[in-house]
Amino acid sequence: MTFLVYAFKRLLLALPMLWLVLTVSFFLVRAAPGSPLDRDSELPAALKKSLAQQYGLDRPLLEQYVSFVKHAAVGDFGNSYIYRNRSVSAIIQEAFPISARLGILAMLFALSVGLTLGVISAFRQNTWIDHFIMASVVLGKSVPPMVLAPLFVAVFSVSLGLLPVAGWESGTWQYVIGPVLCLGLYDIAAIARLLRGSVLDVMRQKYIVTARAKGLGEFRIIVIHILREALMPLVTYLAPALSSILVGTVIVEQVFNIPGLGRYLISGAINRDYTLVLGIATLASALVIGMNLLADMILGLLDPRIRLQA
Amino acid sequence: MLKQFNEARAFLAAFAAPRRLPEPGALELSASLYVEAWRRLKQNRIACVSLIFLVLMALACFTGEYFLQSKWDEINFVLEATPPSFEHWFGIDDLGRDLLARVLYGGKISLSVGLISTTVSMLIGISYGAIAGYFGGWTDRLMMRFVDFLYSLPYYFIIVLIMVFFSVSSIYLLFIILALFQWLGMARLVRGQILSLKERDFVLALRSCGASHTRIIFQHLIPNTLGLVAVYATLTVPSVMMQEAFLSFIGIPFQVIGSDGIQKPVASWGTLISEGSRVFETGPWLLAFPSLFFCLTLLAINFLGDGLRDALDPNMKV
Amino acid sequence: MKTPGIHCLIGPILLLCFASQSMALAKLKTFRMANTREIESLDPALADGNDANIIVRGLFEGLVSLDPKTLQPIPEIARSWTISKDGLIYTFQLDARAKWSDGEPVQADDFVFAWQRNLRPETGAFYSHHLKTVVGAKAEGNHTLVVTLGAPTPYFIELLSFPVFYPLPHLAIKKFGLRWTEPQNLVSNGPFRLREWKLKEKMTLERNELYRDPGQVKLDRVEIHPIEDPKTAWNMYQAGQVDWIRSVPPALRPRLKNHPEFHSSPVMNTVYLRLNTQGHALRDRRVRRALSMALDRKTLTERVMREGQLPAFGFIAKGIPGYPWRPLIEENIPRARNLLAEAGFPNGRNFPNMTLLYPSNPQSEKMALAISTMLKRALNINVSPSGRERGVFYDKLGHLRYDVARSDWTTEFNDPKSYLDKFTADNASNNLTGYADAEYQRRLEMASRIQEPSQRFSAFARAEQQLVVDDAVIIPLYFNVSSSLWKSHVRGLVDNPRLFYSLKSLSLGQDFRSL
Repeated sequence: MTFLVYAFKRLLLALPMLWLVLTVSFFLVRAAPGSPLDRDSELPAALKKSLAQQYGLDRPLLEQYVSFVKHAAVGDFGNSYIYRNRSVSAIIQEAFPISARLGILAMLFALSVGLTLGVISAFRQNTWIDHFIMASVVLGKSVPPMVLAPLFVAVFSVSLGLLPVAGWESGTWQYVIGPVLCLGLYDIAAIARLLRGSVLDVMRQKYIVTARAKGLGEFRIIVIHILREALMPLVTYLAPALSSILVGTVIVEQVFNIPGLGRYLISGAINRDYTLVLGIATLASALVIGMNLLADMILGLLDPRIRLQA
Repeated sequence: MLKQFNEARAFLAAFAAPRRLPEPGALELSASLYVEAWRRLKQNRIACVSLIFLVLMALACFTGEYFLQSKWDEINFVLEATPPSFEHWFGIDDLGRDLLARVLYGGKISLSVGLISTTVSMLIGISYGAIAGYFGGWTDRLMMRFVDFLYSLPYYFIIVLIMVFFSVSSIYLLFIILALFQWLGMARLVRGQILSLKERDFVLALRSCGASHTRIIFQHLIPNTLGLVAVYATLTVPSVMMQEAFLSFIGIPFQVIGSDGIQKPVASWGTLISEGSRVFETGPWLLAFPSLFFCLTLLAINFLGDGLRDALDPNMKV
Repeated sequence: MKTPGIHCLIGPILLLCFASQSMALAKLKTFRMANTREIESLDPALADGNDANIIVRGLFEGLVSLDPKTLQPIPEIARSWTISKDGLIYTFQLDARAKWSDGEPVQADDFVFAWQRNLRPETGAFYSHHLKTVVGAKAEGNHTLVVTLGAPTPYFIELLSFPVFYPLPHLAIKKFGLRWTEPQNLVSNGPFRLREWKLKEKMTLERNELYRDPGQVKLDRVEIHPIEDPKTAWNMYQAGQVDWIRSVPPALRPRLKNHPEFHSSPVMNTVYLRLNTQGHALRDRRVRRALSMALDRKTLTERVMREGQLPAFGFIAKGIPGYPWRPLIEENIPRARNLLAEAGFPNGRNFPNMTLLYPSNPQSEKMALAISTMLKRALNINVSPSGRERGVFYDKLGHLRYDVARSDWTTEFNDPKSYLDKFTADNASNNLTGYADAEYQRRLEMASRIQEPSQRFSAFARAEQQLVVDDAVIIPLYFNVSSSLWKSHVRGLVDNPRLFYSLKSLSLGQDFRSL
């Protein structure tokens, strides 16, 4: 019961936060110089004026803000200023699942590899295996994405011809592998190190020693104690990681030509597609806030002391 | 939009929350413990090699221009980019600029971005986090909500607005912009530490002796967090350097005064890599050298960070 | 707490191994092309740029089209037309076979409806100013359209190939409003119809069975991949994922020159520098002329841009039949230095520091760096290349807060008017140089009134001379070229200066391998 009250309170706090973020975002976006009417083929003045009228850009900013908030409250962000026949919600509905799928797969890939390497490293602490694993994961994350992704394409797609060069094709697996590997590589190092630390911590604790002494199988020790111990930092880590990876990553999406949210956010920002940017920004901040909330809930469930602190 | 660099996030995950504190005492690093840590760091071979490498790299980048004949921004109208030769060790790019000079100059910029932005972000983050953590309660909650709030804003527009506000796109502005977004993590980390430190007996003792808040925070609490802060800083440096590269990748340009006194687009490892990756079929060396320098430096910083962590607390292998 | 099973770890690994979706496509003649960006809209009134026009011309059809080879108008829905002696009344006979893809006939009414709609401000059509050449349009029966112009317009038939003049399905538009272009709603009258549109991923067109001349259409399907990064496009082309790319990474361009599948042609696009004629040093036309004369355009195109661009010594690109095209600008550094000295800046002394504003992108940056270097070396003046984020760039340009700014212009129709009208005083949004010269304006108005083509052209040529040489309001740099690659099995693609491509005329040859 107390847990429900706690959860409810947190949720209540999240809503004004979201509103605040949206309000500031709205004015930030509108304060930036340039407008969606700036086009590379220059438009005549009269046309610009009538377009501004059509978009409602000629009305007082405050009035536009009120109408924005009213509509945003029911999830309506209007039509994109650039893709004029499309509503922002429709664009997000198309692009978000793609970014989300990519992000989740990348995270799962990073988790499975990272967890495995972390556990192996801990059990072989200070042997060459440990050093080798830790050095290679660090190497993996020292290659910036703008080098890694094009290099991956050049080697595996262009030279070896193993994978398609780019595209999405509704998420057919051949098209997913490259971006998932390139995206996931960065998180492996963090996860592996996190887990290695947790495992070492647990192995030093008395009850593990006792459990060993009692003759419990090594496997059960891993499963029960170590994973339980590692879960908390992992949850704290994954929540923000997921919320940022879900809304897409510009470089990987661009190199692999994937129609994800990351590219929309950047092209929307560059073209001053106000509605589209605000729609995606809302989704992104809702995700950040929601994920943090979720993480706190899970941690609250795992460890009742936290609830008291909050 | 600017992704918090993952390792830094992992570190935060482990230490920013007050709930997962190491054993009491592990953090109260007295002077002798710092000496001890230094000794341990010296024993770590990879970390030492990395440190030496970084020092040499910094030396080369910051003094290189005095030894080279070609300037990083000196344009020669050539027919095409040419591969490394005896005259130009790293080759020249398609505007006839000497790549060695550019890589060294780019390193100067990238390293400065990394160091300065990190330092500024540390200063802001430590003070902010310490104040929030020390006073706790409503102050803390409000200050931390503000950090959350900043996390959720669309960065692209903030950056554009800052640049418009100052009506320049100077590289110095970049230092500040990056620092402005980087202190958030540092603040969370320090706050978490202070929250638990302030419950220790020595703080109660100081308070009963009538020590001022300022003194307690800045003379007694913050020094105790410096170990973790140092580790976090080593994670922030690569993060900042990657973000600089990302900004130039998406077309937010920064400028610097060139060797001929004219303002021009800056060269950093990030911009050199973006340039190189566009031409790498015809001029692989234009991608290879900057990438190599950038990756090796990141690698060294990462190794050094790992070594530092192990040295500061051998039991806390997070 | 429940024990998390080890399968928590194995699950994800299994999840990665998706079952492959079967790629079994029937043996269709599918043409796969890359566009350089996702298009904004399929509405012929809202479509803008080549990327959009290629698709819109595949889906819709107007009165006339252009022949991709000669760029001369060829009849489409209009089987024939007559022009009154005063050049004001055009009477079109329409093809009775023309149908919309929902089976409704395409009638003269549909044109009248479309033009009226596209003129309304709330439609927000990009090229509605062209519609203003028309003062009256009337349907006489179902298949006769009578159009009245306000003034004789020699290029009117060519204008009709613009999508803004296309007929529109009034039933569908009334029914669906803004959503009429969605795949399930779109009704079109062209050789193809829309099958699927996944934004920023792929658009698929398929043969329109109700097309008025089905025998002409050789392709079953057209797939359009929007690919912003030219490197990605090139990679996909190499891997055989697309048959046609229209952007080639600039760095590869010199190497591709001898590639059998590479095609290039000059295009009617001029890259030039705008000068802020209100700026304190640039107010002096001698300074402006000096800047223009001090450049080395051949070096710029051959040693900097390297994409085959042609140096521009005038504003109007070659390719308007009958126009007395000749190099106008003289490159002469000693004269440039003299002019600068006359203006009070001997050897660049006391010359204010200036900026060359450009939207931040790699090609413009190279151009700006080179120009800055040339001006420093020739005139000893500091013009700093200053790249800005796109929105900031347009904001500064629009408010005349710049000294020198990079611009480019693609002609809208094949006539000098399309170029020169930009810099009249009343064309406020397009001028953006602060230039308002009564003499220039008078020259253009006079030229527009002349009926005899060669006299008309030489009057325009005089105005061009004033714009780029005498007053040096702009500094033309180079004419762009197109670069594209198409596979050898693609038939019927023709490169042309207007980038006018027609999907209808394409076919796939024997060496085509079906997917």
